[in-house]
Amino acid sequence: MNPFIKSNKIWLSLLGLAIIIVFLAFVFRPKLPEYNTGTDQAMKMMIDQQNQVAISDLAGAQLIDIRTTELFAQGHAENAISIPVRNLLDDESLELFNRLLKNGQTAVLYGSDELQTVAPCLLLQQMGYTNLKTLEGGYVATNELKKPALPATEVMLLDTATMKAKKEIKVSQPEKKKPQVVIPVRKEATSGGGC
Amino acid sequence: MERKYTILAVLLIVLALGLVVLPKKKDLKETDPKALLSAITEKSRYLSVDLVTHRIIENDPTLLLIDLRPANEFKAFALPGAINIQPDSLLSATTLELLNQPGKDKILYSNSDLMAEKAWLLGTRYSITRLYILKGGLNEWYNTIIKSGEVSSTASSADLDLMSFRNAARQYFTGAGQTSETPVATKTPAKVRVIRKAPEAKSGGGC
Repeated sequence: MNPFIKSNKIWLSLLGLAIIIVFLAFVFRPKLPEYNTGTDQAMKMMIDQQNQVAISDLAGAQLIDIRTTELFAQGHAENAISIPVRNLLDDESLELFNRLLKNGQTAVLYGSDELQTVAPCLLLQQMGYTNLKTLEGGYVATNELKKPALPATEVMLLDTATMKAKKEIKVSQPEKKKPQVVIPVRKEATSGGGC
Repeated sequence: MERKYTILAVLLIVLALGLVVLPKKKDLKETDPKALLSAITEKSRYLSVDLVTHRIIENDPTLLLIDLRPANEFKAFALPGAINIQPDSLLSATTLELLNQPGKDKILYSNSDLMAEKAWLLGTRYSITRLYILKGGLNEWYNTIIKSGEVSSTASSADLDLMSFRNAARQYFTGAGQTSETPVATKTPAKVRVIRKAPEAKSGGGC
C-alpha cells in the first residue's frame, strides 16, 4: 500500500465519508417550493391580461376559495375547495395544484374581491402552476360571486379637466408689484450769486 | 507518489461534479416563495391616500412615487413628483437602480390596485425593500381627495379634521376655491413716478 494512504488512512476515510454524506443530503434534500420562471417570464406573467376568468366562464374549472375557513364556512361557491392564503404553499395544497396541472385542468382562485387573489396567483404561476387564473370579481357579502364595481378596475376615472384648473389659475396669478421708481430731478447748479 | 496525485484528481472530480448539480446561480437576489407568501398576507404594504397626500404636500424627501399607468394617462395627470415606469420595464437595469435607492419609500400606483399589486409582488420577489402600494390607486385618491363630500354635523372631531385636511389638499391639487369670481389682480405696468423736489430757496447771495 502507498505510504501516503497508509499514514492518512483514517483522514482519507473520513473525507470520503463526508463527501458521500454531503452528496446524499443534497440528493435527498426536502423539496422546498421554488420559482420556476426567470425575470423575463415573470414579467410576461405580470402584464398578461388573459389571466382573469369571467364568472360566466367557469365551466370545467376547479374553484379554489382562498378566504379564511370561517368565511368559507359561512358560504362559498359551489364545488369550491377551501385553501386559505396562508396555506397555499403547504404540501397538500401543492399536491393538489400539481394534480390539476398534470390533468390540464384550470384552477381559478377567488376571494372576497379580485385584489385578494392577484398576488397569490402570480406567485403560484411563477412557481410553474401556469394553469392558475384569478376570478374577475369575488365572493361578496350577499353570498354570491360578483363582478367588481368600476372603481376597482384599471379604468381611469379621474377628470383631468379638474386637475388642469390649477395650472390655469396659476397663469393668472398676479405678478409681484415692481417697486416704484423714483427718479430724482437733479437740480441744476445754481450760480452762487454774487455780483 | 503517483497514487497520491490520483487521489487528489479523484477528489477534484467529485467536487466538480458537486458544482454541476448545484442550483444555477440567480442574477438577482430572490425572496423565498414562503417568505413572499408571508409578505402577501401582511397588509402593511398598503398606504392610504390620505397618508400619501400628506407626504406629497409636505414634500417628503423620502417619498418616491412610481406611476405604472400608460404614458398617455401619465401625461394627462400624475401625482406631483411621480415617475412613470411601464410594467414591462420594471426589472430593467435602470429601473432596478431607481428602486434600490436607499432611504426612499417607493410607492407604486396605477388606476386601481391591480397592476400595483402585481408590480409589488415582482419587486418583492427580487428583494426590493420599502416597496408600498397606494391603496385603491389613483381612482381612490381622486374619489377621496378631489371629490370628497360634505361631512355630517354629527361627525366626530377626528372626521372633521380629516375633512378639513382633504379640503385643503383639494385646494392644493386643483386650486378649487380660487374660482373665476375671485378677484385676481391683473398685470399692470410699473408706474414710474417722478418726484420732483421742491425748489429750494435760491441762495440769492449777492448784493
